Amino acid sequence: MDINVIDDFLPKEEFEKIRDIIVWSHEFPLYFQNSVSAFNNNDNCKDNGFWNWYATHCLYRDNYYDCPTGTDYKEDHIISTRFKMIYDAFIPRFKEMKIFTRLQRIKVNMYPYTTEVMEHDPHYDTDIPHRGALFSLNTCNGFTKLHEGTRIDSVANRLMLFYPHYMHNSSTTSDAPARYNINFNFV
Amino acid sequence: MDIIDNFIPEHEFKELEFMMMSHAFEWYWSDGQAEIPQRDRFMFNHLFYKCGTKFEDDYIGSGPNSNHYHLIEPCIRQLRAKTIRRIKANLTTKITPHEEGGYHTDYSDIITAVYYINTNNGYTQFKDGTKVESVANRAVIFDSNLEHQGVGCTDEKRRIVINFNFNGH
Repeated sequence: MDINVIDDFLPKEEFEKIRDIIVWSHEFPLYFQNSVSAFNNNDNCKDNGFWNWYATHCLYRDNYYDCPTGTDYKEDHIISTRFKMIYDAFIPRFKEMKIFTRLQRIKVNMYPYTTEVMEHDPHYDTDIPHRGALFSLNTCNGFTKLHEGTRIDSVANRLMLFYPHYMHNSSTTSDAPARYNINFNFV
Repeated sequence: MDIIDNFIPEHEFKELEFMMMSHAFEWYWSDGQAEIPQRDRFMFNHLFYKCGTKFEDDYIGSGPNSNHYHLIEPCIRQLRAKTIRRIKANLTTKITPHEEGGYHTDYSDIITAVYYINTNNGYTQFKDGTKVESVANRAVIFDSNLEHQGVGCTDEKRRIVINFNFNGH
């Protein structure tokens, strides 16, 4: 399994600028999602699954992988005014790493504080083979767990490269008000 | 204090409820409720109507602040609001049993109304002990000088209310 973890992925100032626009922001809109994993809504789990929700902000979504030749994203699939800021910070670096050709989705996730860390049910993002990157915006004791059991902790400015078509799961945090990350799906 | 059930017509309530309970409604992080700032306590807000900066007897820059403002116009009509100071929705989630938000007043010498979007076992509590249960499409209307607090729910993932502060006819 090819997993890469890169700490201090962005230069400090660039990271802090993005973090401050998103994390604990009174101006960055989030959208309440009633469940984290589409595979099971956890409602019969501990505490009746009341903790099984998250808030998201989707910046780009394309359900297909058919970008016109020569482009890596489509203008009409941009769904957030913050898209360009995130695109400019990350995608050129992914291109330099020779891991990126076309964008499928960029999404900010916010998992809430719970009194103990709770793991969401495993899921895959789509069954089409593609690559993913998960970028942590704050440090906390929440984590992502991959299908073979590897656990990647949430460390601010850490990027994890993985294959989102394999099962993986997220978690809440118990030592911060929330856990924020940015999820990239691309081919 | 007035408690009014079925506050707005059913079809208008359903439209408002559908949007505010949906994953298409914008919520903004807020660090805490009222006077009790704690790291593990947070809520989300949505400002429907912004209170501007006070200048002499006016508030400069006040006005609707949401693409969904039209959805709450039936409530404003029912409240017979003459001038609006602020309208803000709060979403609190279940973290620990029945969290109390802390007694507070929103403004002085006007009218406050709390309007409930979903039914749950959270409630609005007043200092005299009165509790108003969260029942969908219910409004409680009271003198804004009355100290009150929101108390979180334990039987739903979220509790959503809209707070109206206004001058009446």
